[in-house]
Amino acid sequence: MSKGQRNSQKIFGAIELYSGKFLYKHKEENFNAETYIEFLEELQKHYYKRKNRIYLIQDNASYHKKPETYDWFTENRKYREVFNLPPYCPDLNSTERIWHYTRMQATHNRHYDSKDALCNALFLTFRTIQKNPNLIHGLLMPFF
Amino acid sequence: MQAIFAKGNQRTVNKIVSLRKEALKDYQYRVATRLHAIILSIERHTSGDIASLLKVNRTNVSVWIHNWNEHGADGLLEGHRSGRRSGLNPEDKIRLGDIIESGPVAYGLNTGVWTSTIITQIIEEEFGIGFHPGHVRKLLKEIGFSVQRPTYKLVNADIRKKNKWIRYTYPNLKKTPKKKRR
Repeated sequence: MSKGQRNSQKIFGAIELYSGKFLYKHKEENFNAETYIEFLEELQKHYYKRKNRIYLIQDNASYHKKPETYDWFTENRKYREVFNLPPYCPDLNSTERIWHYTRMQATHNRHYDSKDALCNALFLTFRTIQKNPNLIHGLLMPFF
Repeated sequence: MQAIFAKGNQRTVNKIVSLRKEALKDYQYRVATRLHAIILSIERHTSGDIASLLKVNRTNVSVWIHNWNEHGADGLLEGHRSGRRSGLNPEDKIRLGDIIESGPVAYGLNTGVWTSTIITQIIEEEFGIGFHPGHVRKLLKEIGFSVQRPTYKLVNADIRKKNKWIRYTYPNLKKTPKKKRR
């Protein structure tokens, strides 16, 4: 956006490595531990299966490591294991590749008049990714 | 004097048609034209007719037909073209390679990176030949050099933790293929 105002949109994203299934959640306000837990609850719905163990790899954002978040993790310890990436290593984070892809497809070198137009462009890209996981298969290859 | 025709029957024509398609795919238009001429010749067109059909010189057509009759399809392939002689001798090229290998600092320059403009100036100083920087790039590729770009280095990252993640933690997290039953 232009005219001296800089607005940003906040989006959570998670990617399942082996199937390329991509989930995201868009938020208006800032992120904190509460909103993160909300997002995790939503993830749970997609992945809950008995006797299924989930490995969640997250980066070191401050709200990923708040005591509230850790409490939630201990509650759901049975079927979820959490790993923090080493600090300042975005090259090890697979979701970062998706953000780059989205940037290239939707926002890089483009002008959007309004917030809605920007969001629409972003969501369109996300939907294409969700429908065609083979688009991002190449991006995830280094993590296999 | 009897008109000469290319040797062959319907089967060889089919073969040549597929050869011609391949030649077109590889952007070898001259070879494709020659093959076309041979096809027409097998179909009993005289060389004069072929020349006017394909808009080529009449003498060329009879040469192609002779080559086809003696060597087959190999006779029609592109030969080696010498082209214009290179401005640098082979010895000069080796010397240039040595200069580049030893780096810009060793040559007394204030940079760490070779660029084609700098090398153009050096060639002018050392050998007295003025090249365009774009041609210098081709020349370097011919000598055997390739472009190198610096990579990112993450300053804030802790290398030991990162190595631990890459070598130990992450491989243990990955899905392992199921064991095959025997």
